[in-house]
Amino acid sequence: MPKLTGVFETLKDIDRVPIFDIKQWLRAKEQDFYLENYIGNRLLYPQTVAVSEWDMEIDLAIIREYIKRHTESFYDQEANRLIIPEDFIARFSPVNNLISAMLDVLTVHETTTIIALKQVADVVVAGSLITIPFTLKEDFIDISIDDQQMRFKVGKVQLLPIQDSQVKVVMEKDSDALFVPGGQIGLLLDLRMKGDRK
Amino acid sequence: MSTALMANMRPRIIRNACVYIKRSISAGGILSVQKHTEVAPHDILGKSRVSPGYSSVNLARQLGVNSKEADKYLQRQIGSTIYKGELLAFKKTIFGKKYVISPTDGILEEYYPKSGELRLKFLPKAVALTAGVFGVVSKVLPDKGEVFIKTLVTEVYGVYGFGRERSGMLHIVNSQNALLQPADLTSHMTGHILVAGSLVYLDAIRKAASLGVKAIISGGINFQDFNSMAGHFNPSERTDSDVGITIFATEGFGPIPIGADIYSALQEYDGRFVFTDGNDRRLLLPSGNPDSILTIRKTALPENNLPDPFPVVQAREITIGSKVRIVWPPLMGSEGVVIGIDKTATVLESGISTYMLAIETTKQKIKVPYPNVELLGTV
Repeated sequence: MPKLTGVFETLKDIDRVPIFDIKQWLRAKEQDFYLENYIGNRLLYPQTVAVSEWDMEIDLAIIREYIKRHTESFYDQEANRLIIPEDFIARFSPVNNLISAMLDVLTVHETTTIIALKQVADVVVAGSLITIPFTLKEDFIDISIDDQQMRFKVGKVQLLPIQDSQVKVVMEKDSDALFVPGGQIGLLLDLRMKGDRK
Repeated sequence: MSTALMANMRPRIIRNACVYIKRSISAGGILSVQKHTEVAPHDILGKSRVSPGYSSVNLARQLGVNSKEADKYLQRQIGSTIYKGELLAFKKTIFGKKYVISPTDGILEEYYPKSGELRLKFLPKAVALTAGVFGVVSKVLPDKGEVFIKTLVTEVYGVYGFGRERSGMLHIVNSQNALLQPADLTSHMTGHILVAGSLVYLDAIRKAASLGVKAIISGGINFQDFNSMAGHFNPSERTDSDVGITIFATEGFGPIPIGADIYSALQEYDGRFVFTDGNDRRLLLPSGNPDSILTIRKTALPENNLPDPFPVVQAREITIGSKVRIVWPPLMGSEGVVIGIDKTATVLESGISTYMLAIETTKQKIKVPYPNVELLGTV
């Protein structure tokens, strides 16, 4: 049977990204040689997975820098679609952290964005991303999802695993309802403070 | 869990492989062996004369004269031979006589008027090219000075490396876990293939190259150091680089102890003649058994028997009793046996959901996510 591989095998030239660019995403300091060796071992053993929280933080920092250099592969501005390779979902779990990392380096122009999963032979709609269009001042926000009032804590990307083909969303201060697709990933609400957004 | 868990199996040690090895004589040497000859390690394939190097004498300073004039006092002509203790230069003044004695046997090669230095080339010495292995000579190329010998070896494959094929005596410098530093290297290691330990530093590599060390085998080197010497890393491509020394890594990047499987094979060969090719990530440990010739005689190899670029890595099922190697921290490089396979997934601290394996090493029992192991392949 062919060898197992993983996401990092597809990240071309990731070893040429300056370490300084990756370090800027990390909360704690790490030595350059440690990060360089980390990347080298990810290329050597692409099938491996992050064990610790720190491993995942480094992985997401690496993926941010890759996405930043290949934005066209991850955001289709014309179609207003965020494109996620299917193998990214399991590898950079949970998905809201992955979306949050992508949004750190991609500029999404519309309030609602389709999330599409890139599979081997196809691209399928897998959900929606809603970017709250106003400045969040309170700690919580009330949003109606399919006529159900829900309260969300502000500060990060929230995931609702809704698979329905159409979801009705009413913002707190916006009386117009939004009708967006759900899917395999679901509905994501970008509730990060405005200063955290790109 | 209904689907079998799979892991990559990467052949690391292939025993009793019949291969061709190449022995080369230095330029100007003459090969005396014939095709189809059966050889033993100490059999001579050919001879050459090799100058082991140079020495210099500052004539101007020793005679106390201007550098442009010092060569007038030479007692031998440039190009002539001189022996240790013989008179090299002589100057008579009103204050007395000054003698310069040759410090070594050699040939007066050149005088440099700018510096006042006289360069002496050491006298060439006869050097025999030995077979180094038990085998059968399959090809002799006198114009290139090359002999190909069919022989029986244990092949050891690393995970990356660089540098052309080199051969020499294997010498274990440190334990599996040690870090190789410049201070560990001495002139006694010239011509050797060193087994370093878990990591070799860049300045140690440089010093080793300057000492004439042929190759270094290590668990790992730093990724940046690798790129600075090899250019770029692509795990599926052969590196095509040589910086004057061959480097061969068995585990990964950074300090990782050489795996127990490879280390025990290396210990068997400490002090013995071996071959390594960093670009192919391959180490050949020739059989020391004279009876291996029986197998070699019976084994036919294609004329141009080039090895596979690297042994094929394939996915295989993990089962209880599988021997595995951990390929991600913690405990990267450790080897053990699978003693349990979880039936339900675990969510790791990283947020990833996966199945865990219970592994018993020589020191402890641990749980490892199944994607983070490779099956040990010893053929």
